[in-house]
Amino acid sequence: MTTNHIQELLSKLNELRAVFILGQRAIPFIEEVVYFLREISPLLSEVNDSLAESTRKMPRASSQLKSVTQATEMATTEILDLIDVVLNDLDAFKKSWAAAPEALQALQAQEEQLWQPLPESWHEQLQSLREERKQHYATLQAILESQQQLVESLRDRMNRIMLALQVQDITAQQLAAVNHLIESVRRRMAQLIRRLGSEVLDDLELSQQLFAEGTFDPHARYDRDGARQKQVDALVDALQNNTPLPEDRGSAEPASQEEIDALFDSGTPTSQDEIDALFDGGNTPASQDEIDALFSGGTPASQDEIDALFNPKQNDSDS
Amino acid sequence: MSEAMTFLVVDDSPTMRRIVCNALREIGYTNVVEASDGADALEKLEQGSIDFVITDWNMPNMNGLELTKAIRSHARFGNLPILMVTTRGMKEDVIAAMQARVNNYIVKPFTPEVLREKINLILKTA
Repeated sequence: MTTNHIQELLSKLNELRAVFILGQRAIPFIEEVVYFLREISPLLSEVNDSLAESTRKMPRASSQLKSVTQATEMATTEILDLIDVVLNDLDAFKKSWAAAPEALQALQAQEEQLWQPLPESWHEQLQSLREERKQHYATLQAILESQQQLVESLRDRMNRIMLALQVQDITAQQLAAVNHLIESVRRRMAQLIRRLGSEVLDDLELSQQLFAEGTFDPHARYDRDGARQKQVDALVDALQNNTPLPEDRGSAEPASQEEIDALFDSGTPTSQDEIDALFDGGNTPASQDEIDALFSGGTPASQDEIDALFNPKQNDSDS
Repeated sequence: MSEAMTFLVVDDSPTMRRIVCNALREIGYTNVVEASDGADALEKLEQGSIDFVITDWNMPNMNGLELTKAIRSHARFGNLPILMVTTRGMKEDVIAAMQARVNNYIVKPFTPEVLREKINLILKTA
Protein backbone atom coordinates (compact mmCIF):
# COMPACT_ATOMS: atom_id res chain seq x y z
CA MET A 1 0.00 0.00 0.00
CA THR A 2 1.52 3.28 -1.08
CA THR A 3 1.23 6.68 0.56
CA ASN A 4 -1.12 7.72 -2.19
CA HIS A 5 -3.41 4.86 -1.39
CA ILE A 6 -3.43 5.79 2.28
CA GLN A 7 -4.14 9.43 1.41
CA GLU A 8 -7.01 8.39 -0.77
CA LEU A 9 -8.39 6.11 1.94
CA LEU A 10 -8.19 8.92 4.49
CA SER A 11 -9.91 11.27 2.10
CA LYS A 12 -12.75 8.79 1.60
CA LEU A 13 -13.02 8.26 5.33
CA ASN A 14 -13.26 12.00 5.81
CA GLU A 15 -16.00 12.23 3.25
CA LEU A 16 -17.83 9.39 4.97
CA ARG A 17 -17.53 11.17 8.28
CA ALA A 18 -18.89 14.33 6.70
CA VAL A 19 -21.89 12.41 5.45
CA PHE A 20 -22.54 11.03 8.93
CA ILE A 21 -22.29 14.45 10.51
CA LEU A 22 -24.57 15.92 7.86
CA GLY A 23 -27.05 13.17 8.56
CA GLN A 24 -26.85 13.95 12.24
CA ARG A 25 -27.68 17.58 11.52
CA ALA A 26 -30.56 16.59 9.30
CA ILE A 27 -32.09 14.36 11.95
CA PRO A 28 -34.13 17.16 13.66
CA PHE A 29 -35.73 18.07 10.35
CA ILE A 30 -36.57 14.47 9.59
CA GLU A 31 -37.95 14.16 13.08
CA GLU A 32 -40.24 17.11 12.44
CA VAL A 33 -41.41 15.61 9.18
CA VAL A 34 -42.28 12.37 10.96
CA TYR A 35 -44.17 14.24 13.68
CA PHE A 36 -45.99 16.19 10.98
CA LEU A 37 -46.97 13.02 9.17
CA ARG A 38 -48.20 11.46 12.40
CA GLU A 39 -50.35 14.51 13.05
CA ILE A 40 -51.66 14.83 9.55
CA SER A 41 -52.52 11.17 9.19
CA PRO A 42 -55.88 11.33 11.06
CA LEU A 43 -56.64 14.57 9.24
CA LEU A 44 -56.07 12.90 5.89
CA SER A 45 -58.21 10.04 7.03
CA GLU A 46 -60.96 12.53 7.86
CA VAL A 47 -60.60 14.17 4.45
CA ASN A 48 -60.84 10.74 2.90
CA ASP A 49 -64.05 9.97 4.81
CA SER A 50 -65.48 13.36 3.91
CA LEU A 51 -64.63 12.82 0.24
CA ALA A 52 -66.25 9.43 0.35
CA GLU A 53 -69.39 10.85 1.95
CA SER A 54 -69.65 13.70 -0.56
CA THR A 55 -68.99 11.33 -3.42
CA ARG A 56 -71.67 8.98 -2.18
CA LYS A 57 -74.18 11.85 -2.14
CA MET A 58 -73.45 12.96 -5.69
CA PRO A 59 -75.61 10.36 -7.45
CA ARG A 60 -78.53 11.60 -5.34
CA ALA A 61 -77.89 15.16 -6.54
CA SER A 62 -77.78 13.87 -10.13
CA SER A 63 -80.98 11.99 -9.62
CA GLN A 64 -82.65 15.09 -8.19
CA LEU A 65 -81.58 17.10 -11.21
CA LYS A 66 -83.12 14.44 -13.41
CA SER A 67 -86.32 14.69 -11.38
CA VAL A 68 -86.35 18.46 -11.89
CA THR A 69 -86.00 17.96 -15.63
CA GLN A 70 -88.80 15.39 -15.67
CA ALA A 71 -91.05 17.60 -13.57
CA THR A 72 -90.53 20.63 -15.80
CA GLU A 73 -91.11 18.49 -18.86
CA MET A 74 -94.38 17.22 -17.42
CA ALA A 75 -95.47 20.72 -16.46
CA THR A 76 -94.51 21.99 -19.91
CA THR A 77 -96.50 19.22 -21.55
CA GLU A 78 -99.53 20.15 -19.45
CA ILE A 79 -99.15 23.80 -20.41
CA LEU A 80 -98.81 22.84 -24.07
CA ASP A 81 -101.93 20.68 -23.80
CA LEU A 82 -103.84 23.59 -22.31
CA ILE A 83 -102.55 25.95 -24.97
CA ASP A 84 -103.74 23.49 -27.61
CA VAL A 85 -107.18 23.43 -26.01
CA VAL A 86 -107.34 27.22 -25.87
CA LEU A 87 -106.14 27.53 -29.48
CA ASN A 88 -108.72 24.99 -30.63
CA ASP A 89 -111.45 26.83 -28.73
CA LEU A 90 -110.35 30.11 -30.24
CA ASP A 91 -110.38 28.55 -33.69
CA ALA A 92 -113.90 27.20 -33.11
CA PHE A 93 -115.01 30.60 -31.80
CA LYS A 94 -113.44 32.35 -34.76
CA LYS A 95 -115.11 29.94 -37.16
CA SER A 96 -118.55 30.37 -35.58
CA TRP A 97 -118.20 34.12 -35.61
CA ALA A 98 -116.89 34.29 -39.13
CA ALA A 99 -120.47 34.34 -40.49
CA ALA A 100 -121.65 37.03 -38.06
CA PRO A 101 -120.60 40.18 -39.99
CA GLU A 102 -122.14 38.81 -43.15
CA ALA A 103 -125.39 37.97 -41.33
CA LEU A 104 -125.48 41.48 -39.92
CA GLN A 105 -125.05 43.00 -43.36
CA ALA A 106 -127.83 40.75 -44.71
CA LEU A 107 -130.07 41.90 -41.88
CA GLN A 108 -129.37 45.54 -42.72
CA ALA A 109 -130.10 44.92 -46.40
CA GLN A 110 -133.37 43.21 -45.54
CA GLU A 111 -134.37 46.15 -43.38
CA GLU A 112 -133.77 48.50 -46.31
CA GLN A 113 -135.97 46.27 -48.46
CA LEU A 114 -138.71 46.38 -45.84
CA TRP A 115 -138.40 50.16 -45.54
CA GLN A 116 -139.06 50.87 -49.22
CA PRO A 117 -142.67 49.59 -49.51
CA LEU A 118 -143.79 51.39 -46.35
CA PRO A 119 -146.13 54.38 -46.95
CA GLU A 120 -144.50 57.81 -47.01
CA SER A 121 -146.51 58.90 -43.97
CA TRP A 122 -144.80 56.15 -41.93
CA HIS A 123 -141.35 57.19 -42.97
CA GLU A 124 -141.50 60.43 -41.01
CA GLN A 125 -142.78 58.69 -37.90
CA LEU A 126 -140.25 55.85 -38.09
CA GLN A 127 -137.22 57.92 -39.13
CA SER A 128 -135.83 58.34 -35.64
CA LEU A 129 -136.31 54.61 -34.93
CA ARG A 130 -134.57 53.80 -38.19
CA GLU A 131 -131.59 55.99 -37.27
CA GLU A 132 -131.41 54.32 -33.87
CA ARG A 133 -131.39 50.86 -35.44
CA LYS A 134 -128.65 51.93 -37.85
CA GLN A 135 -126.58 53.02 -34.87
CA HIS A 136 -127.17 49.64 -33.21
CA TYR A 137 -126.02 47.86 -36.36
CA ALA A 138 -122.87 49.99 -36.46
CA THR A 139 -122.19 49.23 -32.81
CA LEU A 140 -122.66 45.52 -33.43
CA GLN A 141 -120.33 45.72 -36.42
CA ALA A 142 -117.65 47.40 -34.28
CA ILE A 143 -118.08 44.77 -31.54
CA LEU A 144 -117.67 41.99 -34.07
CA GLU A 145 -114.50 43.56 -35.44
CA SER A 146 -113.00 44.09 -31.99
CA GLN A 147 -113.81 40.51 -31.03
CA GLN A 148 -112.11 39.31 -34.16
CA GLN A 149 -109.03 41.31 -33.20
CA LEU A 150 -109.27 40.00 -29.65
CA VAL A 151 -109.29 36.41 -30.87
CA GLU A 152 -106.28 37.10 -33.09
CA SER A 153 -104.47 38.75 -30.20
CA LEU A 154 -105.25 35.81 -27.90
CA ARG A 155 -104.00 33.36 -30.51
CA ASP A 156 -100.81 35.37 -30.90
CA ARG A 157 -100.24 35.45 -27.13
CA MET A 158 -100.90 31.74 -26.81
CA ASN A 159 -98.33 31.11 -29.49
CA ARG A 160 -95.85 33.38 -27.72
CA ILE A 161 -96.37 31.40 -24.51
CA MET A 162 -95.77 28.21 -26.45
CA LEU A 163 -92.55 29.55 -27.91
CA ALA A 164 -91.41 30.73 -24.49
CA LEU A 165 -91.67 27.11 -23.38
CA GLN A 166 -88.51 26.44 -25.37
CA VAL A 167 -86.95 27.43 -22.08
CA GLN A 168 -87.77 23.91 -20.84
CA ASP A 169 -85.58 22.28 -23.49
CA ILE A 170 -82.79 24.77 -22.89
CA THR A 171 -82.81 24.43 -19.09
CA ALA A 172 -83.00 20.65 -19.45
CA GLN A 173 -79.77 20.80 -21.44
CA GLN A 174 -78.19 23.11 -18.88
CA LEU A 175 -79.17 20.72 -16.08
CA ALA A 176 -77.83 17.80 -18.10
CA ALA A 177 -74.52 19.64 -18.45
CA VAL A 178 -74.38 20.28 -14.68
CA ASN A 179 -75.23 16.66 -14.11
CA HIS A 180 -72.47 15.57 -16.42
CA LEU A 181 -70.05 17.77 -14.53
CA ILE A 182 -71.15 16.30 -11.19
CA GLU A 183 -70.77 12.82 -12.64
CA SER A 184 -67.24 13.62 -13.88
CA VAL A 185 -66.22 15.03 -10.50
CA ARG A 186 -67.79 12.04 -8.74
CA ARG A 187 -65.93 9.58 -10.96
CA ARG A 188 -62.64 11.37 -10.34
CA MET A 189 -63.26 11.54 -6.62
CA ALA A 190 -64.12 7.85 -6.55
CA GLN A 191 -60.80 7.11 -8.25
CA LEU A 192 -58.98 9.29 -5.76
CA ILE A 193 -60.70 7.64 -2.82
CA ARG A 194 -59.89 4.21 -4.20
CA ARG A 195 -56.25 5.25 -4.43
CA LEU A 196 -56.41 6.40 -0.83
CA GLY A 197 -57.41 2.89 0.10
CA SER A 198 -61.01 3.28 1.14
CA GLU A 199 -62.93 0.01 1.24
CA VAL A 200 -66.45 1.35 1.38
CA LEU A 201 -66.92 2.72 -2.11
CA ASP A 202 -67.59 -0.35 -4.18
CA ASP A 203 -71.07 0.91 -5.04
CA LEU A 204 -69.68 4.07 -6.59
CA GLU A 205 -68.99 2.31 -9.84
CA LEU A 206 -72.66 1.48 -10.17
CA SER A 207 -73.90 4.99 -10.89
CA GLN A 208 -76.24 5.23 -13.82
CA GLN A 209 -75.75 7.61 -16.71
CA LEU A 210 -78.75 9.89 -16.30
CA PHE A 211 -78.04 12.09 -19.29
CA ALA A 212 -76.35 10.42 -22.21
CA GLU A 213 -73.34 12.29 -23.51
CA GLY A 214 -73.93 14.12 -26.77
CA THR A 215 -77.63 14.61 -26.07
CA PHE A 216 -77.17 18.04 -24.58
CA ASP A 217 -75.35 21.25 -25.30
CA PRO A 218 -73.27 22.42 -22.31
CA HIS A 219 -73.38 25.98 -23.68
CA ALA A 220 -77.17 26.10 -24.12
CA ARG A 221 -78.70 29.36 -22.97
CA TYR A 222 -82.03 31.12 -23.13
CA ASP A 223 -81.15 34.25 -25.01
CA ARG A 224 -84.09 36.06 -26.54
CA ASP A 225 -82.48 39.24 -27.78
CA GLY A 226 -81.68 37.66 -31.12
CA ALA A 227 -77.99 38.61 -30.96
CA ARG A 228 -76.83 35.01 -31.31
CA GLN A 229 -79.09 34.49 -34.33
CA LYS A 230 -77.62 37.60 -35.93
CA GLN A 231 -74.09 36.26 -35.39
CA VAL A 232 -75.10 32.90 -36.84
CA ASP A 233 -76.76 34.60 -39.82
CA ALA A 234 -73.60 36.58 -40.49
CA LEU A 235 -71.54 33.41 -40.31
CA VAL A 236 -73.91 31.43 -42.54
CA ASP A 237 -73.95 34.30 -45.00
CA ALA A 238 -70.15 34.45 -45.09
CA LEU A 239 -69.85 30.69 -45.53
CA GLN A 240 -72.45 30.59 -48.29
CA ASN A 241 -70.90 33.49 -50.16
CA ASN A 242 -67.25 32.58 -49.55
CA THR A 243 -66.55 35.91 -47.91
CA PRO A 244 -64.30 36.38 -44.84
CA LEU A 245 -65.82 35.04 -41.62
CA PRO A 246 -66.99 37.65 -39.11
CA GLU A 247 -64.69 38.08 -36.14
CA ASP A 248 -65.41 36.44 -32.78
CA ARG A 249 -66.98 38.64 -30.17
CA GLY A 250 -65.08 36.79 -27.47
CA SER A 251 -67.59 35.38 -25.06
CA ALA A 252 -66.56 33.73 -21.83
CA GLU A 253 -66.60 30.04 -22.57
CA PRO A 254 -67.43 27.49 -19.92
CA ALA A 255 -64.74 24.89 -19.33
CA SER A 256 -64.85 21.96 -21.71
CA GLN A 257 -64.96 18.38 -20.47
CA GLU A 258 -61.34 17.93 -21.54
CA GLU A 259 -60.33 20.91 -19.44
CA ILE A 260 -62.19 19.50 -16.45
CA ASP A 261 -60.59 16.10 -16.96
CA ALA A 262 -57.18 17.71 -17.22
CA LEU A 263 -57.73 19.37 -13.86
CA PHE A 264 -58.20 16.01 -12.26
CA ASP A 265 -55.48 14.18 -14.15
CA SER A 266 -52.15 14.07 -12.37
CA GLY A 267 -49.05 13.11 -14.32
CA THR A 268 -48.05 10.01 -12.42
CA PRO A 269 -50.68 8.61 -10.09
CA THR A 270 -49.48 7.60 -6.68
CA SER A 271 -49.45 3.85 -6.22
CA GLN A 272 -51.50 2.18 -3.51
CA ASP A 273 -48.30 0.92 -1.89
CA GLU A 274 -46.97 4.44 -1.64
CA ILE A 275 -50.17 5.64 -0.03
CA ASP A 276 -50.23 2.66 2.33
CA ALA A 277 -46.65 3.33 3.31
CA LEU A 278 -47.53 6.93 4.10
CA PHE A 279 -50.41 5.96 6.33
CA ASP A 280 -49.16 2.72 7.84
CA GLY A 281 -45.55 3.48 8.50
CA GLY A 282 -44.69 -0.21 8.50
CA ASN A 283 -46.45 -3.17 10.04
CA THR A 284 -45.76 -2.18 13.63
CA PRO A 285 -46.04 1.52 14.20
CA ALA A 286 -43.08 2.95 16.12
CA SER A 287 -43.80 4.30 19.58
CA GLN A 288 -42.88 7.86 20.44
CA ASP A 289 -40.03 6.53 22.59
CA GLU A 290 -38.70 4.52 19.68
CA ILE A 291 -38.80 7.55 17.43
CA ASP A 292 -37.12 9.66 20.07
CA ALA A 293 -34.45 7.02 20.54
CA LEU A 294 -33.79 6.97 16.84
CA PHE A 295 -33.18 10.66 16.76
CA SER A 296 -31.34 11.15 20.00
CA GLY A 297 -27.81 10.84 18.69
CA GLY A 298 -24.75 12.44 20.19
CA THR A 299 -24.07 16.12 20.11
CA PRO A 300 -24.72 17.52 16.65
CA ALA A 301 -21.60 18.63 14.82
CA SER A 302 -20.92 22.33 14.46
CA GLN A 303 -20.73 24.00 11.03
CA ASP A 304 -16.97 24.36 11.48
CA GLU A 305 -16.64 20.64 11.98
CA ILE A 306 -18.60 19.90 8.85
CA ASP A 307 -16.62 22.43 6.84
CA ALA A 308 -13.43 20.95 8.11
CA LEU A 309 -14.54 17.50 6.99
CA PHE A 310 -15.04 18.68 3.45
CA ASN A 311 -11.69 20.48 3.36
CA PRO A 312 -9.21 17.85 4.49
CA LYS A 313 -6.26 19.69 2.93
CA GLN A 314 -7.05 22.74 4.96
CA ASN A 315 -7.15 20.49 8.02
CA ASP A 316 -3.79 18.97 7.18
CA SER A 317 -2.12 22.32 6.74
CA ASP A 318 -3.70 23.55 9.99
CA SER A 319 -2.39 20.59 11.88
CA MET B 1 -93.05 23.72 -53.22
CA SER B 2 -96.10 24.98 -51.38
CA GLU B 3 -97.90 24.95 -48.09
CA ALA B 4 -98.95 21.38 -48.91
CA MET B 5 -95.37 20.23 -48.49
CA THR B 6 -94.49 17.78 -45.72
CA PHE B 7 -92.01 18.68 -43.03
CA LEU B 8 -90.00 16.23 -40.94
CA VAL B 9 -89.31 17.65 -37.48
CA VAL B 10 -86.48 15.84 -35.70
CA ASP B 11 -85.86 16.53 -32.02
CA ASP B 12 -85.42 14.28 -28.98
CA SER B 13 -87.40 16.72 -26.85
CA PRO B 14 -91.17 16.15 -27.25
CA THR B 15 -91.68 19.71 -26.05
CA MET B 16 -89.52 21.11 -28.82
CA ARG B 17 -91.18 18.92 -31.43
CA ARG B 18 -94.58 20.25 -30.41
CA ILE B 19 -93.32 23.83 -30.42
CA VAL B 20 -91.76 23.53 -33.87
CA CYS B 21 -94.84 21.75 -35.26
CA ASN B 22 -97.09 24.41 -33.84
CA ALA B 23 -94.91 27.19 -35.22
CA LEU B 24 -95.06 25.50 -38.63
CA ARG B 25 -98.84 25.28 -38.41
CA GLU B 26 -99.04 28.95 -37.53
CA ILE B 27 -97.10 29.89 -40.63
CA GLY B 28 -99.26 27.68 -42.76
CA TYR B 29 -97.56 24.29 -42.98
CA THR B 30 -99.86 21.65 -41.57
CA ASN B 31 -98.30 18.43 -42.89
CA VAL B 32 -95.73 17.49 -40.32
CA VAL B 33 -94.05 14.18 -39.48
CA GLU B 34 -92.08 13.84 -36.23
CA ALA B 35 -88.94 11.88 -35.37
CA SER B 36 -87.16 11.61 -32.02
CA ASP B 37 -83.59 11.23 -33.32
CA GLY B 38 -81.51 10.88 -36.46
CA ALA B 39 -82.04 7.14 -36.81
CA ASP B 40 -85.81 7.54 -36.44
CA ALA B 41 -85.69 10.37 -38.98
CA LEU B 42 -83.97 8.17 -41.56
CA GLU B 43 -86.71 5.57 -41.11
CA LYS B 44 -89.39 8.22 -41.59
CA LEU B 45 -87.60 9.48 -44.68
CA GLU B 46 -87.61 5.98 -46.13
CA GLN B 47 -91.30 5.55 -45.33
CA GLY B 48 -92.84 8.68 -46.73
CA SER B 49 -92.41 11.60 -49.02
CA ILE B 50 -90.75 14.32 -46.99
CA ASP B 51 -90.11 17.70 -48.59
CA PHE B 52 -88.23 19.52 -45.84
CA VAL B 53 -86.22 18.48 -42.79
CA ILE B 54 -85.95 20.55 -39.61
CA THR B 55 -83.51 18.95 -37.21
CA ASP B 56 -82.02 19.49 -33.78
CA TRP B 57 -78.31 18.79 -33.25
CA ASN B 58 -77.93 17.08 -29.85
CA MET B 59 -79.84 13.82 -29.91
CA PRO B 60 -79.22 10.22 -28.88
CA ASN B 61 -78.47 7.42 -31.38
CA MET B 62 -77.77 9.73 -34.30
CA ASN B 63 -77.33 13.46 -33.90
CA GLY B 64 -78.42 16.17 -36.30
CA LEU B 65 -75.01 16.55 -37.88
CA GLU B 66 -74.76 12.83 -38.57
CA LEU B 67 -78.31 12.86 -39.89
CA THR B 68 -77.44 15.71 -42.26
CA LYS B 69 -74.41 13.79 -43.56
CA ALA B 70 -76.51 10.63 -43.94
CA ILE B 71 -79.17 12.52 -45.88
CA ARG B 72 -76.63 14.25 -48.11
CA SER B 73 -74.99 10.96 -48.99
CA HIS B 74 -78.33 9.32 -49.80
CA ALA B 75 -79.19 8.79 -53.44
CA ARG B 76 -82.92 9.46 -53.17
CA PHE B 77 -83.22 12.31 -50.70
CA GLY B 78 -79.73 13.76 -50.86
CA ASN B 79 -81.00 17.15 -52.00
CA LEU B 80 -83.68 17.69 -49.37
CA PRO B 81 -83.67 21.11 -47.75
CA ILE B 82 -82.32 20.85 -44.19
CA LEU B 83 -82.73 23.48 -41.51
CA MET B 84 -80.78 23.01 -38.28
CA VAL B 85 -82.59 24.32 -35.18
CA THR B 86 -80.34 23.96 -32.16
CA THR B 87 -79.09 25.55 -28.96
CA ARG B 88 -75.54 25.31 -30.31
CA GLY B 89 -74.46 28.73 -31.44
CA MET B 90 -70.68 28.52 -31.37
CA LYS B 91 -68.78 29.51 -34.48
CA GLU B 92 -67.29 26.04 -34.93
CA ASP B 93 -70.76 24.47 -34.66
CA VAL B 94 -72.14 26.64 -37.42
CA ILE B 95 -69.10 25.94 -39.59
CA ALA B 96 -69.42 22.18 -38.99
CA ALA B 97 -73.11 22.27 -39.84
CA MET B 98 -72.53 24.27 -43.00
CA GLN B 99 -69.73 21.94 -44.00
CA ALA B 100 -72.17 19.06 -43.54
CA ARG B 101 -74.35 21.04 -45.97
CA VAL B 102 -77.33 22.15 -43.95
CA ASN B 103 -79.20 24.84 -45.85
CA ASN B 104 -79.58 27.19 -42.94
CA TYR B 105 -79.20 27.43 -39.20
CA ILE B 106 -81.42 28.68 -36.37
CA VAL B 107 -80.36 29.10 -32.74
CA LYS B 108 -82.90 28.24 -30.06
CA PRO B 109 -84.93 29.91 -28.73
CA PHE B 110 -86.34 30.81 -32.13
CA THR B 111 -89.24 33.01 -33.12
CA PRO B 112 -91.84 32.11 -35.77
CA GLU B 113 -90.63 35.08 -37.79
CA VAL B 114 -87.12 33.65 -38.00
CA LEU B 115 -88.49 30.20 -38.80
CA ARG B 116 -90.65 31.59 -41.58
CA GLU B 117 -87.77 33.70 -42.92
CA LYS B 118 -85.35 30.76 -43.05
CA ILE B 119 -87.86 28.40 -44.62
CA ASN B 120 -88.73 30.96 -47.28
CA LEU B 121 -85.06 31.66 -47.92
CA ILE B 122 -84.29 27.98 -48.35
CA LEU B 123 -87.27 27.40 -50.61
CA LYS B 124 -86.37 30.43 -52.71
CA THR B 125 -82.84 29.22 -53.32
CA ALA B 126 -83.67 25.50 -53.56
